This record gives sequence, C-alpha cells and structure tokens, in this order.
Amino acid sequence: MKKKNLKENILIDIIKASAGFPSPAENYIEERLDLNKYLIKNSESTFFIRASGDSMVNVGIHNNDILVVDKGIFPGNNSIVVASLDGDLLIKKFLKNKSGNCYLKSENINYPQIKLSSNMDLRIWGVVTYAIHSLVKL
Amino acid sequence: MIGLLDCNNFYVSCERLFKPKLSKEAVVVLSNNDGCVISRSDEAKKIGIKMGEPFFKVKELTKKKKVSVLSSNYTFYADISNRIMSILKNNLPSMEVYSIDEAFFLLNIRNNKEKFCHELAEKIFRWTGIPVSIGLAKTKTLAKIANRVIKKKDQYKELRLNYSNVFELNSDQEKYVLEKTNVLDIWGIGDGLAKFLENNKINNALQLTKFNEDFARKKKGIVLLKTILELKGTLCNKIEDQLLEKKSICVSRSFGKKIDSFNEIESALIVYVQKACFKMRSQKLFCKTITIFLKTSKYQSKIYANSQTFNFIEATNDTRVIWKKSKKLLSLIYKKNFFYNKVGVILSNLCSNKRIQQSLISNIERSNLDESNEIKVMNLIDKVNKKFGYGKLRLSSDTVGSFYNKNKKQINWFMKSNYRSPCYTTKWCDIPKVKV
Repeated sequence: MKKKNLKENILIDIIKASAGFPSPAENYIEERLDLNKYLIKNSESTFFIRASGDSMVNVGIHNNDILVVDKGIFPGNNSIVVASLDGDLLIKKFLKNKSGNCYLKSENINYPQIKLSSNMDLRIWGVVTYAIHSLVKL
Repeated sequence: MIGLLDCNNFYVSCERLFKPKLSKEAVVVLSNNDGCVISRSDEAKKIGIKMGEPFFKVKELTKKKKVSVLSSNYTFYADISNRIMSILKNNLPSMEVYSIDEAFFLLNIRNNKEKFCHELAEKIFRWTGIPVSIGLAKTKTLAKIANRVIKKKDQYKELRLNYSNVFELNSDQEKYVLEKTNVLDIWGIGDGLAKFLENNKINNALQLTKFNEDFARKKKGIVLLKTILELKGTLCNKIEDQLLEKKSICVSRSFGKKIDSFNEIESALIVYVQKACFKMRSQKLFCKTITIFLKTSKYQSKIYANSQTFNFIEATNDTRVIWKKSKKLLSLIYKKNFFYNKVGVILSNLCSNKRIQQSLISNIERSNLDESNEIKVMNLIDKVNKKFGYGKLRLSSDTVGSFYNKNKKQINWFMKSNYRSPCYTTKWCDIPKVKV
C-alpha cells in the first residue's frame, strides 16, 4: 500500500513539472488493458459461477474453475450452457440433432448424455462464455 | 407517456435466481432482524401469509406448509436492482429510480408502446432472471394504477390485457379502472387522507377526480390537489432523473437482543457512526449537525426514548471528531436499567466542501481543505477499506467492525439473520457453485 502511494505521488510530480518539460508520451497514453472489458460483453447480464465436477474437462472446464456466464445470450447448437433441469442448475453442452431431439451432453466419456423429453422441466439459464482456470496453487 | 416498472415480488425473485428449485415453491423473505414478512411469492400469498406480518405469528404456518423462509440479503438485492436500472437507463431516454424495485421512465415513442415495453420486460427477465411489470399512462399517479391493474387482475375482471406484464391505461378503459380502484390504493394516499376522503364520500379514484379541487387544497394542501390533477391526466410530478443531494444520512439498526449495558450500546454505535461517515464521504459531503438517538422497544413495560443533537462550529467529515461527540451525546441520553432495542446516528446539515462555512479561528485555509491531513487520513481509510473489505481499518475502540455475525462471536446487538443466502454477486467466496 505504502509503496503504491509513493508511486502515485511521483506521478503527480511529473504532471506538475510538465509545464516546462512535457512528457513525450503524453499524447500516446492509452488506458491499460482491462480483463473485464475482454471477458464481459454485458455487465448487467453476466454472472460468475464456480464449476464443481469434471464432466466437462474436454471443453476445458475443470473442477473449481470460475465460469463467466452471460444470461442475455441465446444458446445455439453446441453452446456450453448453464441449464436448470427439474430445479437444479448444471453445466452441459446443448445439442440439437437433425431429427429435432435435444440433449445435454457431457464432455467426458465417463458421463452419459441426457436426452431431453417434454416431461422434463428444462430452462436454459445462461451461456458459458469463458472458463477461468488457475495454473498456480493458491 | 410515463411508465412505471415494478419488479414482481422482488426479494423473492432474487432469491430464486440461483435456486430454480424455489421457483415453484412458496417463499417468504423477512425484514432486518428476521422481524416481519416483507416479500412473498404468489404461492405464499395464496397460503394466506400477509405482507408485514411478524414472523413469530406465521412461523408454525410456514413449517406446516413447507414455506421456504429467508432473511433479507440487501447486498445481493442491491446488485440485481442496479443491473435492472442500468438496463432501463440504456434503453430509455429518461428514467428515475424510485425505490430498490421500482422506476419511473419517459416513453417518447408514438406507436406500439405496449409492444416496446413488453420486449423490454422480456429482456430484463432474460438478462437478470427477475420478472417485471410495466404500467403506462399519462402521469405518474395513473402509471402506478396501470401497474396495479397487472398485479391485481382479478379486481379488474372486465379488462382484456394484450400482455400479461404490460398495460397501457388509455381513455377507453380509464373510467372503469378508476372506478375499480380504491382511494387507499392510489399513490400518495395513506390512512389519514383516505379517512378524510371517505368522510367526504369519496371511495374510489373516479369519485376523487370529481372532488372539489379548491376544497381539497384548502383542507389537505397541494399534495392532494396534485393527486387529483394527476388522476385527471395533468402532469404534476415530473421524472426526476437528476439525483437529489441527500439532506441527511441515518444509520440505525434494531439489536438482535435487548441490551442494557452502556458499553454494548457504544460498541454498536461506533460501527454505525463509521458507516454513516463513510457514506457521507463517498458522496463528498461534510456535516455540521449530528444527532444520536436511543430507544427501548414499544412492546415492553419500561419505555424510554431520547435523542441529543450537536452542531459543529465547522462542518466536518472526520470520523474521529464525529465519534468523540457521538459518544458524549450517547452518555447524555443513556439511562441505566432500561432494555434498549435500537440506537442510531443521523448526520445532517450536509454540504459539499466548496460550501463549508469556515470558522473564524480555523487553522486550515479553505483552498487547501482537500490537502489537510484530516481529510487525507479519511480518504486513505476509505481507500484501504474499499480495497481490502469494509471494516478492515477502523477506530481502535471499535472491537467488532461489522453488522453481521461473521465469526460466530456472541454479540448481543448483531442483527438476527438466521436464514440469509450468500452474497452471490459481490463476494468471490460466495459465488454460486454449479455441478458440471
């Protein structure tokens, strides 16, 4: 904290001195990259969810990853979705084949796919747009 | 055309967002301290649980009927509310946040107004999971009634609505709707006014439009006159899209248990005072006046309530200065052998730093106010707390630092919130876990 404040103070000094000695970079300053802007299209409809389980490892969703979920996007064929099935939320791939049958498919051979039928209460809650996977042990 | 958007059973709808299981169940949300029922799902309404009913009275019923009971989680509700308001702001020329779950807005389009609003409502539902209703009419008062029509369809049986969640009140149905609307259900009319109107044989909104305006104004003032004019379609209350500067800031909570010890009350007050000062500084304001109040519950044999006010010579935003005075004021009103249930602080006479009246003997020059050490320290505290969590840096006499029972410490004044959901959208450790 202390260190950061020091830095800020120095920055203010530079700006104060610029009357006599303008920074050559002054006209080229751009805002630093912001991951929020990259990962989130609509902040109003975006929620973060923690994944629990390994049924989607083949699309790169691991246990404990943080998922960026946009509720505003309409799901397409093959979208990774958060679905509400009979009152429970779960994350699967949404599939629709040529004959019109719909499935929730896992991306791990150890898990079966769920064929959707009209007596199930299914709602697509949102579309998973990114998975954030930590590569260091915290 | 003015619209009123209202979220349906807002707190309950929020609780259902990450728990779809609740979407077909009866659910109620309780007020602070798990006191009263303040939000009910339609299923809970059908069971017969009334709005505002004390929880202890319906506890048995909720158990018997398997109603899900939840403590209020305002952190979470505020985030969802902000999302909805932001969608409105981005889709409409002018809007006014009226409460956590209501907003007035201006609609400038000529045709297909209901269709436009229906699509907007659907978008809000898709984006946030919250179902909303939109009433459209010529004035705010009428828009409120239009919104009521959607929610109480069975009271307006002869109407055919084009959409289940949008209704435009136009001159064709106005007479019918106003006639079916009780005076008590009109915006701005409370028990007192309703009684006055009933004594004058005014029972519904249609009768009120024919009420003598001069008489109304003479007897009950401009507010009632405005209501009458608005019912007739004359715009009196505009959309306030500029945030009004706050007149005062109050922080106060009921205690989880009744308290008689000065030290315990003080340990609560210091948390409230710091919160109030933080709120004030986040709006870049200074206060000249502070009031401390202390009271027992109304429902006990020994009742006592008192307050004390102090005026600073020069407006301040320094928590240390304000706390020192607050403690003194508390000691002036505290009396032994009473069991208190509430303490609170009010900061008033608020002004921005440019409008501070300086004391003759002040040692800070006005132009350098922002650079005075006091203000620098306060800004630093706020910065640290924003980064590392509220309450991390606080006055040393504050041994608690929070409103809630996080560490299961036994503190008598902590609010009861036995059934609270996680802060899903504002704390990393609380984000919802979903099975993959």
